[in-house]
Amino acid sequence: MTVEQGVGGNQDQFPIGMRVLAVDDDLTCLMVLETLLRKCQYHVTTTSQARMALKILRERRNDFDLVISDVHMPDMDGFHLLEKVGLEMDLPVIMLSANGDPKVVMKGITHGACDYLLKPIRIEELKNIWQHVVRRKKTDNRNNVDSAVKPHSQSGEATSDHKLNKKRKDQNGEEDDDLDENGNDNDDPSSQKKPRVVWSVELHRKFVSAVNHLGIDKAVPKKILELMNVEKLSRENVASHLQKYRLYLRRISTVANQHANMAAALVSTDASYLQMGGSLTGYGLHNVAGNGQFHNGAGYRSVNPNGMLGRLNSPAGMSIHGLPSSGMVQVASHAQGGRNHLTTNQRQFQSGISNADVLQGMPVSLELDQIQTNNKGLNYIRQHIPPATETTTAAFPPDMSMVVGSGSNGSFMVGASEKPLLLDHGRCNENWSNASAHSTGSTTLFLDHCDVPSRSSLPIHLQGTKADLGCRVASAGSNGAQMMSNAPQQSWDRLAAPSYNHFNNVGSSSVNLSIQDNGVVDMINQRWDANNASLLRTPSFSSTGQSNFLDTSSVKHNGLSVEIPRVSIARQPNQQHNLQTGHSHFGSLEDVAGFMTTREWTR
Amino acid sequence: MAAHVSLCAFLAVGPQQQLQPSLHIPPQAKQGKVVVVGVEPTYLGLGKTGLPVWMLVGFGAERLGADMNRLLALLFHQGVLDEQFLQLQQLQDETSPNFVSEVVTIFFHESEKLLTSLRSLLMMVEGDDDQDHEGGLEYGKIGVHLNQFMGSSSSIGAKRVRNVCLAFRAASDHHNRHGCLRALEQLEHEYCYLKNKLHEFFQLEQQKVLAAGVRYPMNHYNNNNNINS
Repeated sequence: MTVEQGVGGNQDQFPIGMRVLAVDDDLTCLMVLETLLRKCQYHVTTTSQARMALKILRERRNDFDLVISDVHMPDMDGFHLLEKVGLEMDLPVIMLSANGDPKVVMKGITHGACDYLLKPIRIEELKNIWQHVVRRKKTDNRNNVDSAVKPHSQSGEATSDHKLNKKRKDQNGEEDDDLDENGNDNDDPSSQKKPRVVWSVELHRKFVSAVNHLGIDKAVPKKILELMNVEKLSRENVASHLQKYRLYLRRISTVANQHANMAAALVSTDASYLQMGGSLTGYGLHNVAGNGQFHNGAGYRSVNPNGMLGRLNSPAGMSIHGLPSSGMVQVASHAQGGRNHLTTNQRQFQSGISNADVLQGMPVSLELDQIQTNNKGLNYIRQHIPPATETTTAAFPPDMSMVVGSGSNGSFMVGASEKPLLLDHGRCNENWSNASAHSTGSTTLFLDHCDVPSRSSLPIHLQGTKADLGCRVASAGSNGAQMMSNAPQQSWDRLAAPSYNHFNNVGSSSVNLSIQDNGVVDMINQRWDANNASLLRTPSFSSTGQSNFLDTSSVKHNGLSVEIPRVSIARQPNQQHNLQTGHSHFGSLEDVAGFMTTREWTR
Repeated sequence: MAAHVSLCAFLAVGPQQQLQPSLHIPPQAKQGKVVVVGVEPTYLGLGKTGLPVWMLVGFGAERLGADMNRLLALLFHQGVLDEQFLQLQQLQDETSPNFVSEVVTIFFHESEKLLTSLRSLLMMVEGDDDQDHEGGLEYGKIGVHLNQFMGSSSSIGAKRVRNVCLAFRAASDHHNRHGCLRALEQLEHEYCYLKNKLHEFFQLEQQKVLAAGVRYPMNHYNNNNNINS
């Protein structure tokens, strides 16, 4: 691996001096690419590891204009990296591959790649890649009101994203194209390092509720902005966020659809869960409730967690990244909107759950650093559930952290592994044992743990659901997604005390945070399809629990030690998530979380 | 160019031959000018200087270059290499004078590893013939390796190697063990052939560099020339 220091680009003679980061595990191609890029007079930094690439980017985000990455890499899927880079640093990413299969190309585009090049790379192709940088800069400059924002800043890039990703499936022109309307200062007051808006839990919660209020299909940034009624938030910020959110949901639904059979197999037959799930279709996470159906989780293997998780991660990452609650909120809103037949309480639960789920789906890893045991999650929950008050890491954050946690910082909470979290509405206890039997992936165990702590923190009336959620969320993943079955009626107190211990024990033993592809994702998909409602509940629960869990225990899975302390639930807007470790886990968690959340409202 | 032709007639030194006659190159030679002294007169019986004529007049590099081109042309004709290799050559310049050979060296190094992995994976699959489930895992890994092999071989322009990888991958997708074995053997064969030819090519290049460093002033030689003798 050759890493050269990239000097600040010479912008005067652009594209000469454009700073490119090249990532490819194949040393031959990497060297050829590097030389080709040098021939184009770009500044090149190379690395053969995706993790190192992310590390470099995080440390020196402003030192690069463009990222070129291979699709197939051993340590991290290229799509995963793509999403992360797109969300965190908002840099244009070009994919590289020897495989020109249209499906793979489409996958790259949907994940947000600016371009997709086939090997062997020709210099003519590289001579034009600077256009992607210019495009982004132009849109940013147009959107940025604050002249102090550097040209490289990527805030308010909704439009640019729109333009750059026309091929994206969810680009259906719903977003407000009014670029002339310059919003307020793009900087969120709480953001410190970057000029971009940081979507805090609170902000995301509002966003999701606004979107749900409008309906995901009809939500336009302008109206969302009005509903949110947040100062210093521009329409572009909202548009960009909305786009990412939609992508995320779409990705999750795609993942879920692909594994409908898995979900079906895992669907819990628990009537109560079904009721809870209500109309939440595709929310298959809760499938495993107490039936031990999770064993089928082994089926997930077919799913390529990297791909899926990568996809999930991006929206999740987005959400997590500052929007832990937003994912949840959206989910919740959807759940609420969709479930006419649900009782109010159930709705609340669902919203809470959905939030939790969303959170879980969200690439918590991004937020993990930011996620502290705070009340943000709770606030979110509160929105839907009146009594929600100060509870550590309100369901929302814990969920997020749970999911995210696993992803980021190596502390992968439930289902951190590439496998999608199998949120199981079922009883945690039952599921746990069942889940242990599965060895689909190392995910979701974390959730179980999370659930426990969160229970205590959740509002009383939510506790029941939270517990369920917690169990469920945790189950996905490791060893076939241990499903925690939570008796929906369990009171928080009841759960908190005995279940915590139980879960802790179970979690530590069964947490298998190994990242496994396919299995979890499949499972989650199936689950989602089967039981939407239960899934919703679980995530929130687990997230809360997770935060606590994370803080207190460390799960070792497949040699990956979950750094619980790192996975802090609390999301602080000014905190940059640090995904230095456990990327693989993160990916899985994120994906799972994202996956789950998207399932939530996808129905 | 009659003189040229006649000079070549004395060219008895093949490209592989080390031009190391008992030539004592005085310090002046280091500047690119060689005053031929002390050369064994019996050395190939070439000219008065005793050195190969083409070397004396600075045709060494050209000759080697011609050989290189001929080799390349052959490889292109055979489909072993494609224009990507030419692109690599164009990338070689003063800033990266050994670029092509460096890249190819890396390619060889990585390819050996890939081939070893492929062979061991296929051997593993053999044992699990009846278990498709297990074979699937190996075939999956084979596919991954092949993908990388395809990427690297296409990046340096190794067309035939890449095509064999394609066929190999197709066989592996169908879990066709026999087909995979055949493809692997073919791949190893193609790879060995390519490696040998490229080694030869780089040897020529090395010699060309050496030869280019030894230059005799034409007029000086001509003044003392007695080639036709």
